Amino acid sequence: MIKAILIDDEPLARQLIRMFLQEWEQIKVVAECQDGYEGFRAIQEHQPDLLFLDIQMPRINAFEMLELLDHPPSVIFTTAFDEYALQAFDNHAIDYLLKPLTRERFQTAIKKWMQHHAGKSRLPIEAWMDKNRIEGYQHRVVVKEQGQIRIVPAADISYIEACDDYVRIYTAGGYFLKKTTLSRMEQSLDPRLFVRAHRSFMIPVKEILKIETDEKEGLMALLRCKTKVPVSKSGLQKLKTLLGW
Amino acid sequence: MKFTNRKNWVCFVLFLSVVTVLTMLLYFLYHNWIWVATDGLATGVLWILSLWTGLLAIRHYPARAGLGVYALVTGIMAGLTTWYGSSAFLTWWLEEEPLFKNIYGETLICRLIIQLTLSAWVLTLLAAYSRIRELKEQLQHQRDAATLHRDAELFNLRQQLQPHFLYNSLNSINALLLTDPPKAQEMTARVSDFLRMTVRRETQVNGTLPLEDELRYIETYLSIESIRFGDRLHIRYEKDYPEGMLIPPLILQPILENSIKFGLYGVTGRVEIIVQIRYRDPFLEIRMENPYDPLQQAPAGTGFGLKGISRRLFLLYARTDLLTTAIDGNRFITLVKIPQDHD
Repeated sequence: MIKAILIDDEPLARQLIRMFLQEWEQIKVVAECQDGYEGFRAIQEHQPDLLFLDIQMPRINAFEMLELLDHPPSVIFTTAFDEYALQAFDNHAIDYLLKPLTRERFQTAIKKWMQHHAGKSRLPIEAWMDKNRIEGYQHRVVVKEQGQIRIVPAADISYIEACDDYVRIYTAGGYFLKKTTLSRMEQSLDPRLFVRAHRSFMIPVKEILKIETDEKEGLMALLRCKTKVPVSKSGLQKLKTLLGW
Repeated sequence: MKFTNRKNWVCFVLFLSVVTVLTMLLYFLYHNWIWVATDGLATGVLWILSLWTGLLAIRHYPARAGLGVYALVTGIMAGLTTWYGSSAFLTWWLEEEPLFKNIYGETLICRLIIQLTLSAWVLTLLAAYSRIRELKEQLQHQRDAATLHRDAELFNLRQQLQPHFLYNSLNSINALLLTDPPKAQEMTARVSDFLRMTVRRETQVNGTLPLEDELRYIETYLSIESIRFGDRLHIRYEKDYPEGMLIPPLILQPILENSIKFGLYGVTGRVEIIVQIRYRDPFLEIRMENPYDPLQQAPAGTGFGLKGISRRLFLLYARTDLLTTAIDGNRFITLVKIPQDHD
């Protein structure tokens, strides 16, 4: 029994997929959701094997939701984006269906999925991290907090520290963990506002009070939140270029 | 005077040659360099002063009709002033040189003619040049308006023919084909109506349409979006205006689309959009309100929207205050004012 969840903000779109799936007895639709928040909760509750996911959804998009899942299931994207925008995904063998959905193409996609993915582990998460090619720089970060989705505005971030597989996003009220790399954060945050000043640290430019040299620890940036964050030589160079020193 | 400008160089050279010629003439007349210099300088200075005054008068008190005649008259006055002024001055200055006065006296009429001709000629030219520059600016302005309008419609057209709207609509029709064929047909009809209306508006580019026409266009658009989004989308109208209201095409629909996108993608659950249309002399005021989440990312395809409309309104009505936005808590408000007495 393959458990599937449908996530799309248009009821008719979900209905169409449901109708197409009637021809596949082994696939059971365990939930239908109209946005990423509902989807997140449903996925945690049902642990599905397969997701039918629209890319653009209210408030948070498909990738922002997927990022937060510890064990994201297989995904077939159903989207009205044209193929050009999706070329980024071809390299990663991601399945997608273009709207309007037709029965033929749908069946082909399912067959293909059954052959390659059913029963296998999920696709690598990096594959869909290129979301900024579709939406540009984010001015917020979507994190998970106690099983709930939380949106952190970029303006609230004091600094970001890398921590093994995670990053710690520090704000005035504490820090949030997000399972991603600093490199990926570099790609999604505006480089005019955030600088990777060090291999393990990313700082918002507006938080920097001054840069000083500490005898023991080398170059440090003093931030408005009173924390000191190390700055590498190349980091200093980046800051100089950006701020025109 | 900027000497990097080629035109100014030409003028300067022309000026120098005229001066040289006149100086030669004077010398031929007087055979006395001091007299030549005095006469030349005095007349010259006075002439330039009067021309300058004449030019300032033309520039700052432009007469709409008969600019040429106006310039001519000013030119003649400048010429007369110079002539009278210079002769009065020179006769006084060189009182003790009766020889000079003789020669000068003989040339009085000749001078007058030269002064008048030159002044009138120069001032008319300058006035004409001024007018040409004005016309060029107007022409460019019109061209800009046309280009921007065309771009806006092309963009709008592309937007309508682009992925999200068309593909999503077709997807909905596909779903309805299996569950509710009559409704599928209805939706097909609405989508094609909408596309047809959009294309038609392209040809009514520079004009205005009756408000009721634009409202019907919006209704078509909304009926399609309602089918797509089911129960989520609710539009409430508040109308308070007399008959005969006019509006340029393709202003309301993009704003509404913007509102809907931000509303639908900004919040989950029910989205209520309020459209208030009121007549507040001399404007037709349209106010759209949609739910708004300050933390949301701008949905795809909303970039051009309001800025482009603002620019278009400026080019149509020469005002920058016709489109304003405001945020009130979690509501986003767009206000458009369309002047109703404009031609």
